[in-house]
Amino acid sequence: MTLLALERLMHEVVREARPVDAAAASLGVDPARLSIYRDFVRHHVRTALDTNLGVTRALLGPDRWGALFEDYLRACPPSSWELNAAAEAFPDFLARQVDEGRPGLHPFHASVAEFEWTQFTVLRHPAVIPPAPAAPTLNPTLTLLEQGWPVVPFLVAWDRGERGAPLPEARASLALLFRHPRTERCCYFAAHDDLLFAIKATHDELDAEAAAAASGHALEAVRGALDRAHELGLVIRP
Amino acid sequence: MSTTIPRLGQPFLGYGVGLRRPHWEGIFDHADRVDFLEILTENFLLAGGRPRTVLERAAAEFPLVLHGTALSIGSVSPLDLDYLDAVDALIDRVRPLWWSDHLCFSSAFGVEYHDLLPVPFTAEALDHVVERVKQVQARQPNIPFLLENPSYYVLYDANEMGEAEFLSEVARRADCGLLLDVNNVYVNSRNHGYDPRAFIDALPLDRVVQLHVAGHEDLGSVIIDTHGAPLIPPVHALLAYTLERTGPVSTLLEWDNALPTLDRLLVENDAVRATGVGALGEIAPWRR
Repeated sequence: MTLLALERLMHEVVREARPVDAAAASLGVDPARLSIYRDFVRHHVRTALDTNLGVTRALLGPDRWGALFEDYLRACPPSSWELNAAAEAFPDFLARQVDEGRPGLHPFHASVAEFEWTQFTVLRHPAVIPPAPAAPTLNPTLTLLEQGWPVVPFLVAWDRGERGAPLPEARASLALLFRHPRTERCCYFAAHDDLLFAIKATHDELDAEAAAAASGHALEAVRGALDRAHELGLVIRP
Repeated sequence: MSTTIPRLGQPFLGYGVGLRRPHWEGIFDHADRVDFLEILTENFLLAGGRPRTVLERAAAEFPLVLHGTALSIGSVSPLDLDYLDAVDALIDRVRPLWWSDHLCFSSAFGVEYHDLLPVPFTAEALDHVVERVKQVQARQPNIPFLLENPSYYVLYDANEMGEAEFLSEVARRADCGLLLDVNNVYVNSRNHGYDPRAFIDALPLDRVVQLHVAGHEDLGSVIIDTHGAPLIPPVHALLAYTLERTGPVSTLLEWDNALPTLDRLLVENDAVRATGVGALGEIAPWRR
């Protein structure tokens, strides 16, 4: 058997495209031993999804999550050496399932999955947060996520242990996600006016006085917004 | 007969452990019990955030080596140049003593398996692997590349030679180092019914630059290489047997699943060190 033929057989086993018994006979190996590889490959993808999309998984429940995993495994094989990236295509996959009317799914589920994957990308964002910039600067890991559902308040409540709340009503929402400069954890906030103002002022390199003059807001309010953005880790100061 | 300089001229780093996330906070306080660190290459290729911070500190405070799982040296698919570019960037950033991956294929036909599938021990596969090892070595001529003997659960009918012969020929023809996983030798010897000491004796031991040891899970009909348990006495004995023949070779404890507390990990590394000292005597490890 050529190397190509052998690897194609093994590929079909781990992709579950060929019965293990048939492949084992062709390879001259014990089917039980061969199935170890199929099970391992499946387990790795399942672990990546379970780990990175924990809230989505919990919202869907074990039966729906398990059935979705089976279809996802077939439809979206991993293509990156980064194991976590095995979960990357799941939010879009889930959104398609919602669009196609798969029973038991809700558009909010897909938004939560998208949000959870974005959290991972923020955690691994390649930008280095400057420890002492020359001037106030935006956290370079800042990621803005526009969604049709208010995921942030739902997750805040979830983190407080409020797990039985009904799914929220649809509402256009903008979330701010960034890696905290000290803890290096992913922080997220709904984009309320004060935070957006601080982002704009910092981006435009305006100090509090200049931002107050430009916006017509009271200086104390502007200072409060900038201080708050700094305390959160959204703005890095010298 | 091999006439290579022992360990390809690489230093003896002592007794180290794999750097795993739950131990990131505490490991730096234990340089007295951990001589060097090994990182999983793929965990740091996208290194922003906390991984980057930890990696930079690890590279500054410990001798460091890289160990990958995604090179897929035996795959019929072309080498992944994006992956190799990322590995090159990582190597350039942390300057490890060496880097390693497994004799296996872990991806093919555009799919990543995230597991180590065995290559057949055939002349065709040998030519293929040798050529690819030469290619990856050419990218980093100053950082040695080591190939590890993996655990495997099937022995293909297609095999034309034994694993030891295959590994020896790859190492000789590609002029690369070997990372000898002593636990894998034990696991394979049990799963496939051969003498682990004879296997070790058949390898070009002067090319062994690093050893791995780990725990496994015995399911009765098969032993699974879990890296999730302490070493068992026969693996300690095989480690001693190996070191008595290789001389001082950097020895790393792998523990990747059911991760223990740092204290437990350190106790296990102490036990590995005790086996090493029993075989070699006290030898000071290399320091930067």
